[in-house]
Amino acid sequence: MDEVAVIGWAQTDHRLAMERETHLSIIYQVVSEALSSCGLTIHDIDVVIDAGSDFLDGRGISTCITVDAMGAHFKEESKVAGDGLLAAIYAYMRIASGLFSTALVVAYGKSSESSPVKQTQSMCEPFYLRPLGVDATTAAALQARAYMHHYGVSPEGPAGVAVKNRAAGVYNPHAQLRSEITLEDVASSSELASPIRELEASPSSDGACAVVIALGDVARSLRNRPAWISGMGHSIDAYSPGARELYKARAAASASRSAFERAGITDPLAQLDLVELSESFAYQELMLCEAFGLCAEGEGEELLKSRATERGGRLPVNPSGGATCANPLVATGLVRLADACAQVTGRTDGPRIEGAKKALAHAGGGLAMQTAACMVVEK
Amino acid sequence: MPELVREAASRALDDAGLTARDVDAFLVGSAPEIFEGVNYPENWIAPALGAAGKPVMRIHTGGTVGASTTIAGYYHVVSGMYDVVLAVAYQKLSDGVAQYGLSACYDPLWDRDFACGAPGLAGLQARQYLSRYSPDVTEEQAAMVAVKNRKNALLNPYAQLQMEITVEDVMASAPVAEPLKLLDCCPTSDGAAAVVIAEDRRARKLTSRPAWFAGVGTCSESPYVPHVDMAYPESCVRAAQQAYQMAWIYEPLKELDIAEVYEAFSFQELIWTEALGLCAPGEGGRLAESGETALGGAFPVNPSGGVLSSNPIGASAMIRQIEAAMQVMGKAGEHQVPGVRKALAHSWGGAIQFSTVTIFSEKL
Repeated sequence: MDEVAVIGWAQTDHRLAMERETHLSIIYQVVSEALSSCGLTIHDIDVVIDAGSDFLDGRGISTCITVDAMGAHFKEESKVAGDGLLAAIYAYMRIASGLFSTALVVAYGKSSESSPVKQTQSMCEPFYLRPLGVDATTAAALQARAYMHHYGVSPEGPAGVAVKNRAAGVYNPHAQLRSEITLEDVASSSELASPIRELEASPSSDGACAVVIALGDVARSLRNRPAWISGMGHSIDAYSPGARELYKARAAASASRSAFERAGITDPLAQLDLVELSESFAYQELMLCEAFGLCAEGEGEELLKSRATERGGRLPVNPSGGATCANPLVATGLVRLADACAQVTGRTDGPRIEGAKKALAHAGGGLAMQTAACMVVEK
Repeated sequence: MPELVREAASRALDDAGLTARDVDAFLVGSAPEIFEGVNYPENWIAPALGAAGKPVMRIHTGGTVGASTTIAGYYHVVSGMYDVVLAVAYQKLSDGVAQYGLSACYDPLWDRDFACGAPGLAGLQARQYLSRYSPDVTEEQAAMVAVKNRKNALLNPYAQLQMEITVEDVMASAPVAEPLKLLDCCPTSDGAAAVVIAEDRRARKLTSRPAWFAGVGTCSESPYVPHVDMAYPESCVRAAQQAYQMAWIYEPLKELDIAEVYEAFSFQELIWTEALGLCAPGEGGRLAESGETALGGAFPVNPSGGVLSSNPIGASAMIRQIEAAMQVMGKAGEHQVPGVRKALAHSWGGAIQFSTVTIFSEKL
């Protein structure tokens, strides 16, 4: 099989509420920009794979209306329910099958037109969890508490992640939150659900992202440098939070293991040059670093405090600012992939991580990181 | 919901002589999750199938989703990434109000004031079709499909409506959305389906007679009803062309042996037989009337009883594929058509804008 590469990408400047935009207009914008970023037109695209959320959109089968904006009219098209990074994995499979040369991946979320709280409450099955009113924040708080208690992580751990990512977001022109904060700011921000503070939670965002994936032959024929896909994996943990080892991000561990195995990565801390991960809440970055094997279990806080994961560190984690600075649900993980591709190819909109050649992109899903998808891209 | 899906998954695994441990990746398909009111239902369902720690992907393409999920499973395998995948699809319409859920598909700004579920749209489709071809196509011919498929269902133990009815019964049944009458319409169903897809060598080890994927085609079309030729939907024509090209089929009526089409409403079987190239445009009514599409005819269509006999929406398109595959594998039981070598499964979804065609063959 020939190699497969990400050849083009685009994302919106993510905002709290894009009042003057519709779902269709932000989709059209990123699709047009992603195509022009690799010098292709919609006629060059063989298959469109998209991701969206009916509950977030407030309608059934939301692709019914998005077909035109995605340029999928009279094309092979399929929709993946979950993060856009999962759609990118499916698009990769389509191309790896040898039956398609190019694929367009589209993901969008417009939380301002919905209620992210109700959206995540509805993820609970109706018998045991839903009557408790569990939502993304309260489920995450239970997990943060379990994690911090189990490993003796201090409040400065998660708070430090928020401070680090907000500092990085200043350099990302697409980020929604672009101002630095301090540990004191985090500690004095309101408590959403103990131990999670307001500044440790990702913002509610509107945004979209599109990525073009192609067969090696196509990728090599283009002027712009492609990001080669060398590994991918996705996984799921048990459903009920009570049935899991909540202090471990097991789905992320298993998804990254598959991705690393395919990419021939045995020592991620040494072999990766940067990581873009989807931390809906700051503590998740610590857990994810452990799950990816960047440090031993329970040592996420030490890794952070060693400054290895800062923009100028040994292995920058979320040099884009991550989900802490913009979290357009459904698109977040695909944005991570776009940011990772930009870094390894040098096609960045902001400053570059010098010498970055290999990157991991991650998407999360479900309550308290029940699901995960990972992709490794390289120069 | 997880129990319902697990029942189908266990049967499929038993049929293949496998357990959940042998499965490398799982796929879940369901139509709008608003039907049951659980968001990201795969997170609840998949671990109940034994998927924890393994890849899970949910596909969501409306009425076509059962087929799209199988097709995604096919790509999981032909990409070389996984050897054995389990694809499940389901709907539990008794957990919600089906037509309310379907009305939520309409655009909130332009269409929702007029939204009236699926029969409203299918009624428009039937009217457009009749107005184009009348008097060559008649309501009675559509009624014949309702009679034929309910009769076929008598031989299908999985079917919900197993009825011996007459054309007069259909014509006299209560109007739903003109020209559709109650017996022209599918029922509301709970149900689940599951398929095991395996790579070449594994498949040969697991069964002496697998149903091979010979052709796969899907196509999506612009959503705006005035743009769509509902009487001859181009997404269906294109999906079929693509599948035929892949399967090297030039004359579908001669080279295929049976078809399982997604006829949620009786008229649709006439329309799909035309769009799939099984007869010329406007000839669907005559084909149905000729008896050729009945069990025992030259080209049985919906020997299982089709969607008119049971419609757990998210599963229905996968059930068409399962029925087509069972015909090829010789496993269809009482409604087995003798000597089936190639079988077609079709589905439609959205505002008659998504189409899939899958062709199974006894030979690779």
